[in-house]
Amino acid sequence: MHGGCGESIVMKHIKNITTNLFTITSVAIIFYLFSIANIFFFSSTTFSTGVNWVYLPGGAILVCVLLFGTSGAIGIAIASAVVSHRFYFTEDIVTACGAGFISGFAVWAARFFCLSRLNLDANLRSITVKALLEIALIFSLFSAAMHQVWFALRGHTDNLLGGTAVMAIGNFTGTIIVLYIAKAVIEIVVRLKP
Amino acid sequence: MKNTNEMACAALRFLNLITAIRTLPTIPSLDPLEERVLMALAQNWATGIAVTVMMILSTFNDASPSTVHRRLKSLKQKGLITMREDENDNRTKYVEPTDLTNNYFNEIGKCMAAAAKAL
Repeated sequence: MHGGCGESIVMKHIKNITTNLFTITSVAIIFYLFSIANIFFFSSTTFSTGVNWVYLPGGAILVCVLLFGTSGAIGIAIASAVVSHRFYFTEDIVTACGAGFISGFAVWAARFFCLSRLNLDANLRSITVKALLEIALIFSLFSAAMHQVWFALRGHTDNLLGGTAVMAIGNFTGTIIVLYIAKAVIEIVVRLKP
Repeated sequence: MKNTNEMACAALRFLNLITAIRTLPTIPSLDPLEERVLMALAQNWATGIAVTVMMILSTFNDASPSTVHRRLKSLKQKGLITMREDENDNRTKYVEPTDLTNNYFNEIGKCMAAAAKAL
């Protein structure tokens, strides 16, 4: 009896770990695909290394962390580190890993801040468009400021304020584009429904 | 159990997020008949008449009542009109403008006034 109970607890833990790993991997793949799409469509809007006027993965980051919380943030951090090392800081793995960590942590912190300050439910029960846009704005500012401070510490930026402003605008416009694409897809699915 | 709860919560968050995303503001685009219906309604509202659905359905000679009724439903979905039932007879429904419609016609009015001044 005792052994059976222990086994069931172990099985539960294994299931938890499997689910979390699945979430982390899925989020990482989504982020990676969005990053590739951003490089493909918006590489002409590059301001400086790793800073774009339009940054589509910002939308993916926000949605994934709102839905999956900490697992989503970990997935974003891993994928962002990989993307940073592969496309932006090929010679500097420390900067790439730091940028990855900040990508995951900034939106997780923005979510935490918004849940406590905007009276949001953890399951987003009371979320409105206004709250969603506020979270997007706070996340854009958090992420941009933290990235730029990190890049400055690592000697990768000369224009801290300019980079922060452009990165925040890029995150926000990218998030708005992704949210409106999601809206369009949802409306099409609803209309196609018999 | 925790595992199931996590996934159930993620599903709940997903549904709540979809609801919020669906209410993102958009510029409602109107087809030609919707525009005509809205203009006909505005003309009646301007005279102070309480406009019923039946009145509007019989306004257009070149469109069937069912076609006009569909346009009324789509205008309602786009947030440009609301329907109010008569207090004494719930078969009678009044068509009323929303704030969005009032703002729209106010803006048109301002533009016309500015154009008239420029002339």
